[in-house]
Amino acid sequence: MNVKEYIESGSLELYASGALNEEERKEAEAMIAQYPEVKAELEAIEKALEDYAFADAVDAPLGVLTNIMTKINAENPVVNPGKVISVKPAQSSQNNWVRYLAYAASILLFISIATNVYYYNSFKQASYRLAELEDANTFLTDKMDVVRAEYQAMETELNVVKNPAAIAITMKGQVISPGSTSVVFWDKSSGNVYLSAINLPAPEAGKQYQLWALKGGKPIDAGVFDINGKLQKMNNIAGADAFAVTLEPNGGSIGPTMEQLYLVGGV
Amino acid sequence: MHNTSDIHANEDLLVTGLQARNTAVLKTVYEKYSSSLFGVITRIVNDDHLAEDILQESFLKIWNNAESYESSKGRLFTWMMNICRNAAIDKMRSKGYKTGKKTTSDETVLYENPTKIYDDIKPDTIGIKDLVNKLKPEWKELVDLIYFKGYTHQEVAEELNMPLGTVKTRLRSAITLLRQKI
Repeated sequence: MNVKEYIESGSLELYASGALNEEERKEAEAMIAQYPEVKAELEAIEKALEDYAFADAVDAPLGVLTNIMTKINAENPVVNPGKVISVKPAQSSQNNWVRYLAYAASILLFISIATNVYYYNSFKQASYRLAELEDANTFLTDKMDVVRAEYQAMETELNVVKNPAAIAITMKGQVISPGSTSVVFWDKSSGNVYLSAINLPAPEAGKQYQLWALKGGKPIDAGVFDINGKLQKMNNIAGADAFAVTLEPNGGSIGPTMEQLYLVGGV
Repeated sequence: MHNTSDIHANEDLLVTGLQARNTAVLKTVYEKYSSSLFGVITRIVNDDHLAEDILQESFLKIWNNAESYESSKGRLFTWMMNICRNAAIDKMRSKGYKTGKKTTSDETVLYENPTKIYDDIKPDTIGIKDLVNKLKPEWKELVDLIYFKGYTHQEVAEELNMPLGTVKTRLRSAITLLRQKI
């Protein structure tokens, strides 16, 4: 049947009115789906019938809409209860397996994460502890080097003092500083001179103490020194009758400033 | 006067909204179509209270079965109207009422109804009312029986003692006349 013939037949009017039997209805639906002209014709027919129905409209009593809304809200949005019942149990047993698997997987994942976090924290603590220990070790090594150096210095001092060839000369405070004392250790054979400055006042700014060896009344420069509480190695002296300390400008002087004579001690 | 594409756009939106179970859209659909649909129901059911029940049931069906509506097979109103008409016919049968097959004259159908909206006719419908009035009474009867009351053309042919082909041709002529207004 061609399109024009079908449209002219009046079948679409019957289709729009819902008057066709099953077989005819299927034929009509096939025509509508296949031919846009048929679809357009159906639209026009339906619109005409719709307008016709609208012309005979009767307002529904008030409250019907409210009743409908109340029922819908009470029913909840379940499309077809039968459908829901038939579908749910069929899926539920399968769903249960999936759900249990999901639960189990979730729990395992959680345990795994917790363990990881625990070990990570332990690892971090261990690393931190190791770093601490390394620091402490370095500190102790450094400290030991310092102690060894101090020990060696003390041993050197002790050797100076223990040296049987060395003599100790005590220098006494002069007018300018009567309470001061210091000791010179002098090895005549080697010429080594060590000074232990015991209680000299701190020099004023720009000044330094200088040790002199006196030989036949002539001063020989034995070097400048600072007050540091240690046994200090001074210049070698070949021969001396006495030792003296004066306060000189920084770096020392060629000759002693006699007004600033602090200590004198005879050999 | 709305143009065709507007109507389509509107209807597509309503269908989408209904199928998405949007209650606001259902309200809009109710406001737009309930009077036309109630008009269809009251043509079949001569009992205000029962007609009201049928309208309510039909709208719940529309709501719950919106997903089964396919716009490719026809307009939304046609689909909703079929639901209302079939519900009304079913109710009449179950209640033991005469289904109206024997009642072919307008008087038995178009009873006096105080809520009829003759005073409140929308401008759009004035033209069609005139056209309907111009329809030959036997043509109008044909449309009413088939479209509004759910008769098949075979039943009408039998009832009106008319050849099947004539029923089809006349129905087409009547609807073609109604279409002229559009």
